[in-house]
Parts: sequence; C-alpha cells; structure tokens
Amino acid sequence: MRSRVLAVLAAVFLAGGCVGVPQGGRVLSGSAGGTEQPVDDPYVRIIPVGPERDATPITIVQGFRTASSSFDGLNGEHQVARTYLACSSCWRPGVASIVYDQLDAPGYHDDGPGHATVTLEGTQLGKIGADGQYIADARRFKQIFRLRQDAQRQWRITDPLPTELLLSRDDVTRAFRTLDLYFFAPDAQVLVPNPVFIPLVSRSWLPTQLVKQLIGGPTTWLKSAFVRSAFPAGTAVRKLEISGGVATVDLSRQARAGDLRNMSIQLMWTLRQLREVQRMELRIDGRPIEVPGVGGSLQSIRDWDAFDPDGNGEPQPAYVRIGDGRLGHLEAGGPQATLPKLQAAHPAISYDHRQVASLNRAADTVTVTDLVGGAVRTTLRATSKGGRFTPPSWDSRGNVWVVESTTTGSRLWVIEGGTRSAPVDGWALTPYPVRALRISRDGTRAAAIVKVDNRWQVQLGRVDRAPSGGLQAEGFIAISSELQSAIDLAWSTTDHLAVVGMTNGNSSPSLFDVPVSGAPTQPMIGPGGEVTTITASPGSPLLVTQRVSGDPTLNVCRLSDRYDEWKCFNGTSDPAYAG
Amino acid sequence: MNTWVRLTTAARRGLRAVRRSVRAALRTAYVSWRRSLQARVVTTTFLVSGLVVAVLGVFLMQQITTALLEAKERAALLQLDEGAGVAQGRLAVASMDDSDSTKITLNAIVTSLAHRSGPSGLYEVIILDRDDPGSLGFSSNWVRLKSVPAVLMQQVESSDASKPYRTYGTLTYDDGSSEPGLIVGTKLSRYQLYYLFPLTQERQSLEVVQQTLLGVGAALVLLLAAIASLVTRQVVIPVRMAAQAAERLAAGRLEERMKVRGEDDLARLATSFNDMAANLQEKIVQLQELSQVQRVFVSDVSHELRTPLTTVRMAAEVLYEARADFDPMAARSAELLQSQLERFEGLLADLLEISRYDAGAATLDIEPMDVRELVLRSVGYTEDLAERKGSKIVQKLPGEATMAEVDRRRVERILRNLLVNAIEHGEGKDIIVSVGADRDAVAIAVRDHGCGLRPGETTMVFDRFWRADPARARTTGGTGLGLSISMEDAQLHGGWLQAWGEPGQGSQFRLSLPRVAGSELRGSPLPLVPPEIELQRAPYAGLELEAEA
Repeated sequence: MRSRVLAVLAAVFLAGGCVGVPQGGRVLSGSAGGTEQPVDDPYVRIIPVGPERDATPITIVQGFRTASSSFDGLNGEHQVARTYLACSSCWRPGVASIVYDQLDAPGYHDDGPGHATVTLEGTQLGKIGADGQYIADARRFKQIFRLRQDAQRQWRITDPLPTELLLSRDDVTRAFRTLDLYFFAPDAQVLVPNPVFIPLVSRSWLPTQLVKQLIGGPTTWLKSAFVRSAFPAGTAVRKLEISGGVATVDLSRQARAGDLRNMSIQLMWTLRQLREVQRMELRIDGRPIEVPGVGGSLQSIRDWDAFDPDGNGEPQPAYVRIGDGRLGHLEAGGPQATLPKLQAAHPAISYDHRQVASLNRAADTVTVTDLVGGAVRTTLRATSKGGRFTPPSWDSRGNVWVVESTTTGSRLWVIEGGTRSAPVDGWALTPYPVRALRISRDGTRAAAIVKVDNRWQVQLGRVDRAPSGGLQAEGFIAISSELQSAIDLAWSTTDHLAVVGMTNGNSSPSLFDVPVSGAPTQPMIGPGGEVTTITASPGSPLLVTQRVSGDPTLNVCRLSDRYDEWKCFNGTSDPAYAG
Repeated sequence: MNTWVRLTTAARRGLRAVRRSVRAALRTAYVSWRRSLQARVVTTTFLVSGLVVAVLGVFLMQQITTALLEAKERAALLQLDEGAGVAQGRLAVASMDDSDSTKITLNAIVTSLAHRSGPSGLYEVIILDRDDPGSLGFSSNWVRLKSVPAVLMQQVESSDASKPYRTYGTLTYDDGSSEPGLIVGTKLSRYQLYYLFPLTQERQSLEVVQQTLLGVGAALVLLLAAIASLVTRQVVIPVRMAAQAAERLAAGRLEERMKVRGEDDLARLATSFNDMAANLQEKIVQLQELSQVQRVFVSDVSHELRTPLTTVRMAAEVLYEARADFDPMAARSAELLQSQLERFEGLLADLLEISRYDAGAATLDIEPMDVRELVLRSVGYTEDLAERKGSKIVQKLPGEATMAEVDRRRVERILRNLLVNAIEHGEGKDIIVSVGADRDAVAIAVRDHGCGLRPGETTMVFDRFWRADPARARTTGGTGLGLSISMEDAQLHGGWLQAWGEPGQGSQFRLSLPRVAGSELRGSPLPLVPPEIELQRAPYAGLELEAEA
C-alpha cells in the first residue's frame, strides 16, 4: 500500500518535472555569444513623402525642403524630393548644405496666372561644403524658388534649382555622421584627422563612402596643409564588405604601388570609427594582402595602436604654478614644488619635458627655460606698443608658437627648437586681435580665439610651409556658431577642443566640448565659480583655473577621471600639460 | 553529328539500364513483400508509425508556433502600450508650434523609443505625422515604411485613439533585405505609432524545434521499424525453420526434425511438427516395406510358376502334336491349351521384366547404334503381322546414319511394341514410321490411322493392364504390359515416350532419346502431333480467333 503511494508520488513528481523552466541552479557567467555585432546607436530617419494634390506653392516649397533633408534612394539622390520639381532629373545636389538656425515664415509673391515665387529666409549657422567640410558662418541667407503650375494644375518648382540643401541643425544631426578621415602629417609618421560630414544613405553605403573619401584625399581646406596620403593616384574601391566584425576592403590594381603599411594604417584608423569594424582584411584586385608587421592577412585595431594621433593615451604629468609663483608638479594628492625656483606665468611644457616656455606677469615677454637646469635659452619681447603675448604653445617638433596681440591686430611668432625666434610671415589673422593659440599635437593645425565682429570666436587654421619655404598659419575657419564668446581653449583630443566660453543668453563662462568637425558642441559640467583657463591632454584629466566670486585667489581644479567630480587645489594657478 | 548520335545512344542505353535496375528493384521489393512476413510487418510498421509521427509532429509544431507567437504578441502589445505612454508624455509637454519643433519632438520620441530596443535590436519604431508637408514621419534605423501593411495603417488611422492593432508582415530594409515580422500600431491623437518586431529569432527557434522534431521523428520511426524487425525475427525464424524442415521432409528426408527450445507456442509447434513427422515416417516405412514384400512376392510367384509351366507346356505340346488322333472336341481343347500357354508364358516374362524394374535391377547395355538399323529390324519382325492385318508399313528415314548411344535390345523392344500396337489398332490402314534427329537427340514416331485415342487416354495408355476397350477380351492382343515396359525402357535411357491421339484421326507414339547416354533431353526433333493434323487445325484456329475478335 505504502509503496503504491510512493510510486504515484514519484510519477506525479516526474511528470511535473518534465515541463517548465528551471527555478534554481548554478550561477554561470555568460556572454551573449560572439555572433551579435555591436550595432550603431539607434538612428532615426525622416520618411519623405511626395507632394499632395492641389498643394499651395508655400506647402510645395516647405515639403520640398523637408523631403530634401532625407538622403533617400540607392545613392542618396533624394528621390522623393525630386517629385516636387518640374524637371526631376535636372537637379544634382551634393552634400553641400546651408545649416540654418531659424527659418522665417516663407515669403510669397504671385507672378500672374500659373506662376509664383516663394522666398525662404532665415539665419544660418554655417555651411557644409561639397566635400563634407563644415565652416561656421553665422549670417542671414535667402533662397528663392520660382514655381509654375503644370498641366494637371499642380504647382512645381521650376528654378532656380538649389545648389545647397537647406537643413536645420536637427536635420544635420539626423542625416549626417561626422567621421574623421586620417592622413599623415607632412614630415612625421603622425596621423592627422580630417573630419567630414557623410550622409547616412544606407547601412552599407556609409563605410564605402568613407573609404572612397579617404582614398579621394583630404578636404580642400586641409589639402594645402601638405598632409600625405599613402594611396597612389587612381586607386579605387572595388568592394567593401563588413561581416562578423571584419571589414574586407578590396582596392583596385593601382594600390600595389602604394605603401601597404601606411595604407593599412589610414584605412584601419578611419574604419575603426565604425563600431561594427573590429578587424580588417586588405585586398588588392581581389587577392588578400599580407602587410608587413601584421601576422596573417587580418589586421586588428591593436596592430596600429602605436599611430594613435592622441599619443599613447596614458595620463600625462601635470604642471601648475603654486602660491609663491614657482612651477610645481600636480600630483594626485596636491601640488609638489619639486622643481627649481622658476617664476613662470602661463607655462607651456615641451613634449619631451625638457623645456618650459612662460610669460612674465605683464605678458610682454616670452622666456624659454631648461626645465632641469633652469638656464634661460631665449627671450622674446613684444615688438609693438601695448603688445601682449598669448600663452605659448609647443608642437611635437619642439617649436614654440606664440601670438603677439594688440587691440587692433596680431602677429605670430615661432621659436624654432626653443632657441631661435622669428615672426611668421603668412599669418592670416594679422588684422584681428587674438586671445589664445594652441597648436595641435601633430603640428598641422592651430586653434585660436580670434576677435571678429566684436565676438571672440573659436577658429581653426592650418600650419604649413609657405611656397617661400617659411612656416605659415592660414586658412582660419570658424568651427562653431553656437558659442557667443570664448575665453580659453585646449586640444582635448586630436579632433576635439575643450573651450571656456559663453553661449547666447548666458554671460557666465562655462565649459564646452567643441568638435573641430563642426558637429554640435556639448556643454560640460564645470567646477563652479568663474573659470578663466583650461588645459587638456588626451587621456589625462581636464584642468581648469577657477575663481570663486568675491575671492581673488585662483584655484586649479582637476576633473576626476572616474566621476564627473572636480577637485580643486587652493592657491594654485596656470595648469599645464605638455604641449 | 557522330558524337551526338553516340551521346544519344549512350544516354538511351543509360536510361534503359536505369529503368531496368528500377524495375529489378521493384520486382525484388514485390517479391520480398510477397514472400517475407518480416518485410511485410516491418514495412507496415514503418508506414503506419511514419504517418502517426508526421501527424503528431505537425500538431506539435503548430502548438509550439502558436505559443511562441502568442507570447511575442503579448510582449509586443505591452511594449507598444509603454511606448505610447512615453510618447504621449513627451507630446504633452513639448512645444509644437511650428513644423521644425514638431519634427524635433517626434525625432526625440523615436530616438528614445528606439533606444529602449537595446543592443540586440528587439524592434524598430515608426511614427507617422500626416500633417507635415514633405514628410510622413520618422522611422528608426533602416526599416522602410513599406513594412507597415496598408491594411493595418487604414485600421489604425480610422480607429479610436490608443486602441492597439497587430498583424504579421514582412519587414523590408534599405539595403533590400527583408525578414518576417510582427507589426503593432496605435493612434496617438493625430499621430500613429508603430512597433515593428523582427521574428528572426522566433523563426530560428522554430527551425531548431522543427529540425529536432524531424530528427527525433525519423529516429523514432526507424527505431520502431527496427523493433518490429527484431520482434518478427523472433517469430519468423522458427517458422522459417519449420518451413525448411517441412520442405526437407517433403523431399524425402524423413528423419528431419525441428529443434525444440523452451515451452512457448513455437516450441509446441515444433513438438507437434516432430510428432507428425515421426508418424508420417512410420507409415511410409510401413508402406515401403509392404510394397517391397509385394514385389518380392510377384517376382517369387513368377519364378515359381516357371518350372511347373515348363512341364505343363511340354505336356501340352505332346497333346498338341497328337491332336489329330483325338476327337474334334478334345483336339480343339488341345489347340486352345497350346495358344493360351504361349500367352501365359509371355505374360509371365513381362511380369518378370516389370518386377525387375520395380526392384530397380534393370541395367542398360549401352553401345553406339544407327537408329535406322534398329527401325529396319523391328519393321522386319512385324511385317508378317502387318500383312496379315492388311496394313502397310511406310518408313520415313533420314539419308545419313543417325547414331545414338542406346541399349539395342530395349529400344528394339520398344519399337516392336509400338509397331505391334499400331498394327493391332490400325484397322488395316497405313502405318508410318519416321525417324528424326538433331544435334542432341533422335526421335522415332509411329503413326497409325485407326480409331485413335480419346482425350485423357494419352497418358493412360502407359498404365499397366490398361485397355482401350474394356469390353475387349483379354484373350486377344498383347499382355497389357507392353507399353508400360516400353515406358520404363525409355525412362531408363533418359528419354521420353509420349502418345498423341484423337478419335477418328488415329494416334501417334513418339520415342525421343538423347544421343549421348546420360545427358539430359531438352527437346525432340519430331513433333508429337503429326504435321498434317497441325496444318488442318491451324486455319480453324485462326477462324475462331477472328470470330472472337
């Protein structure tokens, strides 16, 4: 009797155990499995639609503007927007666009039966060039559209066909990706980023277009900075496929003449911005190529880590001016006055940590001193009346760059090797006062704060050799129209600036991350108080000088690398990293 | 051209070979179906279990699919509900005074909803705004608006706010790829919100389940077939052994018995089979013994009768010689005695010969002979009798010698018997003796034109003491054993002796012998039915066939 009951219980237990999910068990570590690809962040697209029946001319123009903000069609040829035109195949727009801030109500003019004119007016922030280069240029713009009724009495745009798309800031963020093309600096194995706007047409279009633009060379703005590309002329992309984290780049025959190593470095650094690319296989004419220095035909991101344009990414030693005016180390705990007695305002440390360039209190003299012995190597005094120097900046070749600025103009000086100072002839900003100048680590670009139209603007310029052989800094373009005024800046990475500035309607200075590409600036949380200077280095915490209102003491504050938390050191000022 | 021909020929040959092998395989299958109980049971089990497993599998698959999709639908509707809530919250607080700010709000809604989808891309979001010229709304990632079926869109557009609808469709993407998907949608004031769930994962899971079911089903069916095969083997093997034993028993090996293992039904079958075989063997041995005794008795009687018969015959001859001195009554008795004694002697000789055959003591005395010569001699013996009966013996002999290895005495006896038989039943008409020969055999046919044989009598003529007319007295004619002995003689040579006859058409006897002693006879050089009868028959047969058609 008892055994029968037990058997029934066992049967019930077994039957119950057959169905169902586990309710307990071992603890396991789990990864999702290697098959899932890291997907790009969700991306939103506008769904364009053709003109409605019997729409008014203003609706037609508005519809056309909205529809043309979508790069639909196989190659982003704006298929839907073309349906608003009387001649749909006549229009050949590129990526050239006007980025507007505000669009006024459209103006309408009746030009007699069947004809009308619609005017779009507003304020622009800047323009995207046909090669994807952004130039900030805040001003008014005006686009005129003439319309005519077709045989079905429908309004269609006849002329002038716009050569530039009219996009809001929102449209640009949605329809474009800002990506860097990487080229080599003219005289060193250092990569220089060339940010471009590339429209998002389809999943496979973006990488192909990116590589095509890389092979096609830098934008017209950077071209004259003599950046080098390893791709021989005439090279074309035969095929580009990304699957399983591996990008297979198939180049045409002409690529055989190029330096495989340099081509791989450029391709890898350009493609690694796409999250789905982990490794790359280079092929020429369909055959896999083994690149010297890489095991096998698959190159990984790590293989070319040494060419990081941001250096090795390790935290750099920070320097600071302590209370008694001497230069000290900023350690984790606080400032350490271990260096020789060196009075140094606005110090700039060379990349080899051997020399320091500094200003005197009046900022009319630049002194280059040996960091170890304290011997003065050279001194540069202001040549014009009332001339004040900007804080000096080192490039990776060991030159000190400094601008002597008066209220009416400026002059660029370079102290070559820290010893021989000379004015630079080709200084494009001669008629403008300059508040700050920082040379990028690769030495090809200069970021400056320039007073244009009574506004302190952040501008980016090229540093290269003039045809006469001397150095020059020219081609300055504004990169952001969003900042109303800027106080100080620093290169936080090779394509981002950390800027202290003010926006519209906010007079107290705060911190901004400004991409040199022209992509939207992002505000950063500051330490509070009034921020006066900023220093940054790739991989190192941000340093700012801050003053609490009502208190004349300056404090250097450091951003914790783990949390958005600032730590301030009372009585210190003028922080500096190498550069 | 030539190659083409060769190719087609080769192809045709190949096709023929294939067809042949298929046909052979079908035939083999059919034969094993007919012959093998095991094959039948296994095939039936295979088919029936396959059907059952298939039905079960389809049912199971449907259940799993329904369960999976229902869960997905529930999750999708919940997700849509949540998303609609989020969107409504955002729409309520956003300033939507112009087209650009509306777009920014919608864009932000789609972005935040798509963000919730997570890294594995659970779903795509589409929000529609019918009022904005130039755009219909926003979509996340690369999904196309075409993915939302028009039916769903109409339904959502004409529905009350916040009532969710769902349907299945195909999600299409910008790069041209597509996948099956579940699409849910609802209306938010003047906007429409759609969630598009790719069903790739579900499809993969279902594929895995389907493959597993297929594999398990196939394994199950095969396993069942194997089990059926094993079980039937246990039954069929003893049955086969019984069949073999019975066959051997039938072939005369009476000592054959089945092995008895265990005490089951098959063991009982074996036991009863063995009992039966034992009984049978006993009876057969008894009968054989009895027949042996009889044969010996006949032989003994014949031998024993010979000596007194000789004495009686000598006495009867004395009486016959002296019959002139008797009165007519006694003289007639003496003559009768003499003639019946001769007959009795013949009968006795034949009986002895027969008993020799029965005892298996008959042997052949083989020598190569010209068959024509044998025929000539036999005819020579019987010509007198033929003349007396008024018949003429016509001989159709081949021109060259027809040699064969035969026992001359026995063949002559056969021929004599056939000739005498023909003369006796020939009613005075012609008797035709023909000889034919081919590479392997010789044949002699004796044809008469007497009253012939009735149907069925052609085999009975060779029975012992059989007579065509039972009313005929045994006093006339032969002993009634002649044709039996001839038959035995022919068979001793490995030859055939066959008869043909039809009422009113006469009869024909044909003796066929192999040329080389001991070789098997495959055919006869002469027809059994005389050619003239065959020729007469043919037209009628043709006519009958036509009438039938």
